[in-house]
Amino acid sequence: MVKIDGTKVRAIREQKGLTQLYVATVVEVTTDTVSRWENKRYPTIKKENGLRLAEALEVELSEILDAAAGVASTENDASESADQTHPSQDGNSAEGIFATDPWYHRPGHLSIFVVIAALVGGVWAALHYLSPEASISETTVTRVVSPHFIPGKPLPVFLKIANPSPEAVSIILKEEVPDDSTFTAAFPSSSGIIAGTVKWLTKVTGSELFYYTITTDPSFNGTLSFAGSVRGSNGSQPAEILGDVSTRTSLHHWADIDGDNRISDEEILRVYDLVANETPSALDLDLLEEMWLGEGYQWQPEQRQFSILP
Amino acid sequence: MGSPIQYPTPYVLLATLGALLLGSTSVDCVAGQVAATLNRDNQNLILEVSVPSPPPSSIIAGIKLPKNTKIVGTSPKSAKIDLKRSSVKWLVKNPRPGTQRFSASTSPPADFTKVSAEILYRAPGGGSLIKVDAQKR
Repeated sequence: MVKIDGTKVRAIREQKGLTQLYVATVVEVTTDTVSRWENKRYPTIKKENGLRLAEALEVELSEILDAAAGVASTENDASESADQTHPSQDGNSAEGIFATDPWYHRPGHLSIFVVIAALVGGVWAALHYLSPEASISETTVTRVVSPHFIPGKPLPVFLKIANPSPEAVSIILKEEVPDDSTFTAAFPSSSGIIAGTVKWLTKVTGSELFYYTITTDPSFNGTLSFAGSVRGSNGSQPAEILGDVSTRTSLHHWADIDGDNRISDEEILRVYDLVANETPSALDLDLLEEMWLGEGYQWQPEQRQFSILP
Repeated sequence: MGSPIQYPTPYVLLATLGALLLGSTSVDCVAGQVAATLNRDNQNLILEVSVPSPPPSSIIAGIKLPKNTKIVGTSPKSAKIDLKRSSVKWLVKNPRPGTQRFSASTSPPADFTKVSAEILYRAPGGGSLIKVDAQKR
């Protein structure tokens, strides 16, 4: 157990623009509990929750501890017990099931039990491993970004979220804005941008697409690297965002994946597949469609615009 | 005591397993695909595209004509007429499930045996690119 300083917790949270809901989701407690912690009604909490609280606030655990107390006793633990779920301790139930001679102990029946168990296991394995969708046990996020971009022009970074559960799940999605770039917009609106990290706290159902746009200085020449994580509400550790991790400057439009100075059928379908339900103005899809209609395009560095070949 | 319980034989269980596996994969088979037919009506070429549910996010419908055949009109207004390749394309964003009809008028009337049409789209859910050749009628 550790004793936290609620005043410090509140001050850090407010300083970083975080909501109690955000902190509660990261720590996996209720907002009431966070409120009690901040009001010093329950200053002693489990060390595990203390570590998560520190993670949510993006500080070291030592920074939110009550300097006068340090490690505390187990008293005042009631603050967390209300949020925790405990498995029932029903030892008698097991005895009840196996109290009489089970059928599989009868001579000759063990092999059938083994066969059935093997088949059930086989079906389970087949359903979970032969089907790509079913093999995902947790929410995954895959980053899709063009291998190249023109410096100074908006570059979209797509985050494809896959939630294998039929129910909506809460996730915290964090994406670091690459060095040498500037964040310009996000869809859906992010929960906040703190210390160069775009954050979304949201519920997702099935497959969803988030994206954000960045720009660099027009004179930038080099590579941008991406990193991010997703954390579900099932208590798991943050998982790294999969997919593309870098992009580099070039003279090709971000949608021109193969860099042949024309937007092919496949390339424009790919774009509309990504932005199917939205019409993001920042991406200038009208211009992209004009490029597709034309024979090709050229980037004019002096004018800083595309010329479309009819 | 009654007669002993007849447990299923491994063969029956194997058949059950097979049925379960077949059932688990049949979802993919049921998922609809875009289909297309190409007809002619005097000078008009008519491309009918059947869009399944759920629909793809967008489709490109295209008709390719023999050389020296000029396109004099399209309905709906086509997105792209390529004079060099004698082709016409429509880009349809967020198509609705059902039948969509595209037509192109040519001059002179196109030799139907040398006309072809195809649909391009990506499978819903970020799937791969799919090309469907229209069936001539």
